[in-house]
Amino acid sequence: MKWNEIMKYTFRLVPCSIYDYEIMESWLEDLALQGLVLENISHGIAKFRKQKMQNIRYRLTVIPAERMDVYEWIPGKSELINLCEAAGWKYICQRGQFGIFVTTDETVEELHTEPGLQHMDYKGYVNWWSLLGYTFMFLSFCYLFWSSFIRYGFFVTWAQQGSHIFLTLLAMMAGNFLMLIRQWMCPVVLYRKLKQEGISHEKKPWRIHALGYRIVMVALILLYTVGFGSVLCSIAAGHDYYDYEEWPQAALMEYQESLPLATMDDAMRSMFSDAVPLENGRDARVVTEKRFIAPVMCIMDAEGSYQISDGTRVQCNTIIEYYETRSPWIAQQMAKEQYKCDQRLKWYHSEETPELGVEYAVAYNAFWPTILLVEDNKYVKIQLSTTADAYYKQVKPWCYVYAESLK
Amino acid sequence: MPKKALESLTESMFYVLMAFRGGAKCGIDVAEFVEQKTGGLCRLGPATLYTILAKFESEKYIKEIKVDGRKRTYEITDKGLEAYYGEVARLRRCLADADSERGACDEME
Repeated sequence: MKWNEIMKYTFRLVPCSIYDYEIMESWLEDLALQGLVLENISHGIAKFRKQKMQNIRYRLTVIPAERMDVYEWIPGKSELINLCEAAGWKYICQRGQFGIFVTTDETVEELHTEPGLQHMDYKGYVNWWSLLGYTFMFLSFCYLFWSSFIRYGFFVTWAQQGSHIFLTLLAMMAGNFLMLIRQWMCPVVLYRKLKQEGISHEKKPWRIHALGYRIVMVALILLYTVGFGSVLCSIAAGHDYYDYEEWPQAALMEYQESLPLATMDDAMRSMFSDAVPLENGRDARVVTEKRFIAPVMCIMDAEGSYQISDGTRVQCNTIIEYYETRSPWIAQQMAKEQYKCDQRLKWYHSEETPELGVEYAVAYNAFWPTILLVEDNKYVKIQLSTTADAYYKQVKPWCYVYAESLK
Repeated sequence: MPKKALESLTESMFYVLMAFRGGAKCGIDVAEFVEQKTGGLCRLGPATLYTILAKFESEKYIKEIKVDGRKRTYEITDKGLEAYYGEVARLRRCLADADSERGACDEME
């Protein structure tokens, strides 16, 4: 296209949903008074031809689909366009299920002369199935995340589901939710309007409406960009979220050496099939996963006897979840979410938490004696089960032991 | 759920059926007929006319007999004639009722 040709056109972002007949018509008619006549609308961008200012009437109506019947082609759309053109209306373009018509002749009859029939027309052609589809998609996302969100909180779910994947799904869920609301609200509002009062075709103030609509659209685009972008980045970086073998375990080993587990000389072999033998000869289940907010995460599961602070050796099964997060506040947030989650359990009861000299510490009994500790960006959740009756429900002695391991 | 049948005809619908009673017509011919017949008092917008034609076709009041490019020609069916005569009878009853209410007519005069 030559430069002169390009200069004849200008582009604008559409200010509203196509379902908002009155705002759309007002916007187009205002631009016509500025010398911009609509040529086409595609993907939310309207193309205008520059010409002399004129008073133009724009009207929107539902466009029936061309369809193939059992025997023949049913030209629904073209027949409507034919009737409109014969009446003095020029067909401009179609956006979704709606056609945009224009006339410069003030004497030409309105497209719809009976509001009741316009309502019937709309009801017949609006794609209610697409609304059901959006609802189904949204419920699917809710179902996928429901248990995680309810059971835990945002950060724990994030840490457990994987950063990029979780972010993507979260972005899509939020975007889908907004789209769902829009997809439901717009047709229903138009349906009610057509049924109750009809379209007035009076000039409406469209500028504030346009601002809100464009902000929502930009937010949605950003949301999807972040979501899909994070997936693409992770693919490009070659991340494998479940590759346990490649994880450098040096820092983790260092932490393990500070744990009471290190004193175990009679550790039992784990019952788990994916047990990985530790370098120091003991046998425990170790799972490490790379995470965005908690790049170091491991779960240690060991059974054996070890010595606690009062010098007693206790037979114990211990499950330790260890995280190193990107930031100290994330570690605290994860611990608080876990605590809130466990408080909802019916067998929860609180225990006295001693002064341990760490930034955040809470001890309680939620079926198992549980200790949550946070120091800097390290968050540890410890669950104990011991056959030693004296220590079964006593969390306090264990708190000192594990608080030391974080320092 | 079965489609809801037309319970009553609007003025525009009545005139459209009247147009088809005179013979097969396309949509543009129908619009011209209605405008001439009513002296411009009942004017059909093109989208309204299309809605009526589509509704009548789905109710089998009219049937398509010819497609010429974007132009479709319809003719009235027996069911359509029945609906038309039914509406004529209903309107006659309304007029008869109005005539029988002499008081009201006198007031108007």
